Amino acid sequence: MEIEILSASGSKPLGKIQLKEDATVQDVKDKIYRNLKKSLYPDRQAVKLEAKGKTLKDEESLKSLNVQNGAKLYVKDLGPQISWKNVFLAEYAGPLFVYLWVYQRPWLVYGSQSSSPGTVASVAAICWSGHYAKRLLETLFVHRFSHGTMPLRNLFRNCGYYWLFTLYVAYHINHPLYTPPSDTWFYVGLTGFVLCELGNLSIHILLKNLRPPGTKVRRIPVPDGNPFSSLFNFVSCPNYTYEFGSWLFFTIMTKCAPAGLFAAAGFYQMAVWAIGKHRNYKKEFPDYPKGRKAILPFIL
Amino acid sequence: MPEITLNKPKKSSGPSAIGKSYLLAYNGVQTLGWTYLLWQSLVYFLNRGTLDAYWNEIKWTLYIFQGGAVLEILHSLIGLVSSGALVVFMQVYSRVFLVFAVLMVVQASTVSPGLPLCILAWSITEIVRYSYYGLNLINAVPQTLTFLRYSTFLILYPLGVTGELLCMYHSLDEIYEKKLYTISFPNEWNFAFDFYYAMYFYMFLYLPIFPYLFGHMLKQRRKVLGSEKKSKCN
Repeated sequence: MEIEILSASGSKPLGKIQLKEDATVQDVKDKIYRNLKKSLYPDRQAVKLEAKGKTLKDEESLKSLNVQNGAKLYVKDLGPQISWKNVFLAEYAGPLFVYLWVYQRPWLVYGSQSSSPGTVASVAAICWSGHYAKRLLETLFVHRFSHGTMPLRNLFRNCGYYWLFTLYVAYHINHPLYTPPSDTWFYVGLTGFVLCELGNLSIHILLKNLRPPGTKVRRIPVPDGNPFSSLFNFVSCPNYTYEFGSWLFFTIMTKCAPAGLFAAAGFYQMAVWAIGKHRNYKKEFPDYPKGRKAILPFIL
Repeated sequence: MPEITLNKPKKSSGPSAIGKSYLLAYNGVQTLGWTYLLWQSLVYFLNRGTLDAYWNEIKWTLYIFQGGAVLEILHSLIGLVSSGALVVFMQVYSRVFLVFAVLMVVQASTVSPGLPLCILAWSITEIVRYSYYGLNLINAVPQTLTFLRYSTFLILYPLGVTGELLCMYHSLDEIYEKKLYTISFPNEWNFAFDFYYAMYFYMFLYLPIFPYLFGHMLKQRRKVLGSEKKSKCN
């Protein structure tokens, strides 16, 4: 059948494409890319039934959408795209290198210094870089991305957030006049941090195993044998709960207010994501467990 | 496109009768307040007043009516007006910061030539804006006012920004000498804040933000004034 393609921004016609009867939205995108506009690779397109309508999913078939011969479809240019994986790698590599650089007390940051960081600052440097090394490894070997790309401008926003916040926190903890907290604060913080990191990793592995390779299948996550995963009985996104816990305990370990600001900013963003995912789970699965909250057990 | 959106009936029914009378009163009072501030300033300088006593002449009027703008955040939070709270917060923030964190505290900024620039730009903008909102509530906005609402910014916005930056620039030395709002190492919570450098950083932020907001206003202007011409032609 023949479909007319118009641009969603100006409703200008781009041309016509020929499709088979059982074609999906993905096929439409491929045809637009190959026959109409070479710059508009499939990930860069959003296809809609109306100029300002909802974006159609790739796997939806034209038949189920009631699109017939001679119909019109609108395509929106989402702008240059970059893969999630590359964004993750760039945004996590920054914190690793920036923190370790500031840890050396460079002249550029503190002026000329002869002293070296104490025990707490050194342990904090190990914790911080360990966390981001873990994230880089997870990005390479654990995470499965259900959506391939995001707009390129997100790269600058995300990197700005992580790199600058790292510089800000590292500046305070590695400062030559830094005051370490009492042993109690230090050990409570360190223990909590390590436990939360293990919990976070456990959840990421569980989520990876939930989705068979190469598919977009979605299932309700439930605790497996790992005791860390029992947090799934209370919240939909325990990986975020653990991540927030990590930074809260990191703040206790270093007794550094700027680290607390980082924890608070991270919590806000993760709470927004968690509430969204929680809502999607409930919408998608009618039998979704009732007792679960989004990110904080019993509270939020 | 814009014609279609203009013809669509508004989704929300608007504020209740009590809310509407309150908003009318609020916008009325603000219009009068900023008119009084403009009047005060004109009289002061026409009487050959000098910069060093100007701040004392106007500061209370400015505290009251610029402080009153904080209510606008509340209005959008409780849903009295439809604009988003975050947007309103950003609009109100920069001026509240300048008035209550800089001018109120740093004497050197109050004798800056930037201050009368700010007052001129702000008061005209606010007189137009608040009277527009007020009259819009009773659907009685004259065309001239709509035109002014979407045109005065072309001159007044750059003027106001210049004034704000000048005031901040003239506050820098005093902030450095008196160590205002400055927390230094060492302290128990390992927190340091240097208002002097923060001020530099803040001023630098105007560089990307000003063109962005100015562009936003231009777009609004095209949308509102452009479509008016079109609908007259039709």
